[in-house]
Amino acid sequence: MKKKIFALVLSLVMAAALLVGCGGQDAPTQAPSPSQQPEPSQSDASHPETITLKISHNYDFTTIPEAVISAAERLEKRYAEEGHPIHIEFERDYQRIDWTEYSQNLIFAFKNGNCPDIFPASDVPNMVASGMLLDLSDLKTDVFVNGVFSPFTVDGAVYAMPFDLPVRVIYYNKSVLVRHGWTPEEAAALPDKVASGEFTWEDFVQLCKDVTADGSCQWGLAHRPGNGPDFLDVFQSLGGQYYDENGTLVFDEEAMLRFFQFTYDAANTWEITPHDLSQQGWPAINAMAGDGTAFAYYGPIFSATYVATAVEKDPEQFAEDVAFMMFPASQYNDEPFVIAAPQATAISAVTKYPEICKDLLAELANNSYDILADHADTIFALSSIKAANELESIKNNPIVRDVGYMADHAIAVPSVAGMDTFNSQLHTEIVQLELGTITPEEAVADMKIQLELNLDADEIIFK
Amino acid sequence: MRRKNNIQAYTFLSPFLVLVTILYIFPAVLTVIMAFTDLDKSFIWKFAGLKNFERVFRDPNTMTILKNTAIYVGVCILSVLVIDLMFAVLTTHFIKTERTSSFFKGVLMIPMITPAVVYSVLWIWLLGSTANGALNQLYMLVSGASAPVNWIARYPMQVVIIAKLVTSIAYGTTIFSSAINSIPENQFKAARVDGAKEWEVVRSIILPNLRFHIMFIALWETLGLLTDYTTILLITDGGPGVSSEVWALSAYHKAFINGKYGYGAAISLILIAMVLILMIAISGINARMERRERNDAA
Amino acid sequence: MRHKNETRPSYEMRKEHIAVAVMLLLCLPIFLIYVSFFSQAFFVDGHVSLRNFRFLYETIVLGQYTVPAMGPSFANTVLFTACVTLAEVVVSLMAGYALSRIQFTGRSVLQKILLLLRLFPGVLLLISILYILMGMRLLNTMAGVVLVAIALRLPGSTFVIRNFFNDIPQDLENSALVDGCNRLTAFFQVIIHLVKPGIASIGMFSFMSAWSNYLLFNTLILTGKVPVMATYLRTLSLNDQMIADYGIFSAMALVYMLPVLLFFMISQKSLMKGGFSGGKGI
Repeated sequence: MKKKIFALVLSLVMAAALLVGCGGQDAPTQAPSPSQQPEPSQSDASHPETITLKISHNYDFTTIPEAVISAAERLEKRYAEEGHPIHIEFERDYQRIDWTEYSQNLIFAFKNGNCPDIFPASDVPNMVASGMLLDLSDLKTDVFVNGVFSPFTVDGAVYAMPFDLPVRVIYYNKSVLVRHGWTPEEAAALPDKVASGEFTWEDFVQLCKDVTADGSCQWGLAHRPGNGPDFLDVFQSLGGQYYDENGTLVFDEEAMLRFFQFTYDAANTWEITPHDLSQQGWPAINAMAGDGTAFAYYGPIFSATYVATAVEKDPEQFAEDVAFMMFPASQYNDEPFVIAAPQATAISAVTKYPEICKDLLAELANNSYDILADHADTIFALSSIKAANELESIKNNPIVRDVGYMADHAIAVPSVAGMDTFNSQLHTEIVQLELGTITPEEAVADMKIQLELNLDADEIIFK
Repeated sequence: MRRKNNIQAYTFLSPFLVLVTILYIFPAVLTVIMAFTDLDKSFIWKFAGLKNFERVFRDPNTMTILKNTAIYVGVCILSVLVIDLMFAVLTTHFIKTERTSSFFKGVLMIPMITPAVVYSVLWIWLLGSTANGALNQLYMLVSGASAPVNWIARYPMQVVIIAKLVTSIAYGTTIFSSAINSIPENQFKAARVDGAKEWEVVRSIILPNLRFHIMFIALWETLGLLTDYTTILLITDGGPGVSSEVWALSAYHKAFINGKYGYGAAISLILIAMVLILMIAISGINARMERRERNDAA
Repeated sequence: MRHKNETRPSYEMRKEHIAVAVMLLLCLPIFLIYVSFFSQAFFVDGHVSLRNFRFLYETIVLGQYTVPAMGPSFANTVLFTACVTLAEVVVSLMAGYALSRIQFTGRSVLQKILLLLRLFPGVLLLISILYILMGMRLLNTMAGVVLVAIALRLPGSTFVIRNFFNDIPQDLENSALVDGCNRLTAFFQVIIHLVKPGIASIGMFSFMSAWSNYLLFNTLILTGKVPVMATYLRTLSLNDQMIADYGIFSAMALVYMLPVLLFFMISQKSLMKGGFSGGKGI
């Protein structure tokens, strides 16, 4: 019934669209659109066939799409050697908008028929559900580091190729510890003590309080200003679980209360986190993490590129002050850990050139992984390709070289449907808790009811 | 003749009718349909019955959002009316030099013509939470306080109300001004002969003459405040939490941020119902205003 | 018209002076805020400089972000505004004329619909408009946004124009019609009489609303293909990250607002005649 109505409405719309097309001749309702002009075709009998791929990206790490574009040159050579020359042109569309909005726009673009061919896989569950991702299961996965595909695997099929292997870590400032009375050697040895389990999360929180209290720094612990998965790591340190073995979202009420209590106390009781941190914005927070105004900061290791820029330091100078450690073991969590958060690239299910796109990714994974190594080097991350991690560019990176051991402790998170809703609600509560406008109990209750309302019953398990 | 007229009329009307049909009528129908579906980011149309409306009523935030909407609209309307009247009387009744008067009206219009993306940053700049924020510098200088105030996070509703208020002043002031201008001069003369004080002139001549205009502006602005959320979106985005979220913005958030299009459409639909009632009220007042103007003219 | 100054008694002049003083005091905060915000555009590190305006001709780098020159966004905004203003004026003139001057079947129904539509806030329909555009394959195109921008303001403008037509004596046109001219000639005959106030009124509002439109581009444009000034500036001032410093942002804002300000200065008089657009579309 409802389908019929919709079909009817749509067909009316189509008819009307035709009418506008005609009406447009006497009324200038049709604007020339720069985006609709056909690309000048360059194919010529004497030249190799030219194809154009639309490649899209969001935010600053354009080394990701550029890696694909560089790989294309090498692929062209290979094609030429194999006797069927193809020239690949790229139409770049790099944006800088909110990630949620960006991935939603991509899905819309797909439904609208102008989806880019190659784009970042930013919201895998929804993208898969809408059918816009090409199945990449025939990629050779054995050249990749173990587990990097899990966030991009849905029902056993692979939908995106990870380009790097950044981990989410705790940044800490060594000079703050020295001011606090530690020797430089002690300060530098902290990550090892975390790895051995000797230094726990509880010790860490205490340390944050101590360095703040004695004025070694202004703030103990900072975090990102906006919505993002970083908070889940603290949640996990406090014993929280947010997905089960089937990759279904879990609401762990007890741990959530613990996490909210911690968040509230950090800002309002212990005052180790500024209560208006979420209003301060990235530049202020990056500077805070870089110049030792804040002793510790947690987030993906690639944020170090921003933090270093904010304090105008090159990576070597930066590494003298700031070091990285894993999330320590705690009374609720036996092992120190880091979460692997690979950034991946996907291919449109409706691209005209699925084989060429797949060849591009395979080229990067199997032959041109040096390009991926350069990308990883630029963003201070490990590579997702085993062989790339053996290359000089990564081994000599002043930041990455010291965190290589973390790969052994890295946890890969599966693709979890509803995670975006969970994260955005979590952030809403965090902001209010830090401002002190709600209590942890209220936050848990609100979070619970919002998840009930906004997620389907089969998407979440309440514990 | 009638036939010829019909053909001519509908030829003239065709672009209008086509556009209105496609972008008013169809969307309206579609909104109603969507409100009863579970449409989300993966774009699967699934009939959901009254589930979306049930969500609205079960959501504890609904009360907060309703309250915010009431405060936002109520406070804005009351202040806008008072401020508009004050400005209109000042610039029209007291300042009779045409150039001075239009200079002030011009200044009042500047916030209205400032594009929203610029206007919001202007406020964010003014109310910046750090010690470098423009207002904080002033505040710390005057009060001697050592800590800056996080204005937007602490007073989100107040901030969006004031920001919206400043952009709304020009419209009502202009309408009231031209209404004051059209009050026959002999009414004022008579009052002056009686030795009436200015306040009495305002109360007994200007206000009664403007009563329909006041009602019209009140309803018209209500309509705008209920539905236009761009200012709030750009300054606080409804936050912190839902402390400055209003009804129309929550529909936007549910649909465009959370990707729950069905849910968003249901919220819109409820607002549309409210708006329709207001629209009928405005049409009524308009009709009375027109009748009055005709009577005055006669 | 009001009195000339010389004929006015001194007590009235005194009142006027007090009123001017009060108004000055009330307008001062607005004035100060605007001046101090926009003056930042001309200072770099405390020195007077035009360096903040580099975005006009070259790509600039802000932190990790490369900001393209403003050119394409500006051009798109001009194109968008021109299309919307022109089309809105033409379409509403035609519709307003028919509704005001021609007796036809369905006229009174359409009049009533127009009254309702002009009050109806089209933004509320944005969610479904997105789907309609998608169905028409116009989502993510300039043409799509142009159509929506016109349509959402159309009932208001048509209403205003219709009222202007209503005010022009029927005789003018009748003589033309009697003389054997056709409807089109009559149409133009009547138009000429309202060219200035009517068209100026809707044109101005259409211009200003199109020029500063952000919401439609934010929701209906999905890629970076059609940047306009509103989205260009918004990209640099996201809530969690003010990428541009205020100096550069206010320089950009100044360039963005300049056409509106110029337009405003030219048209301020007619704006005040109460020729406010009558719609609640956008």
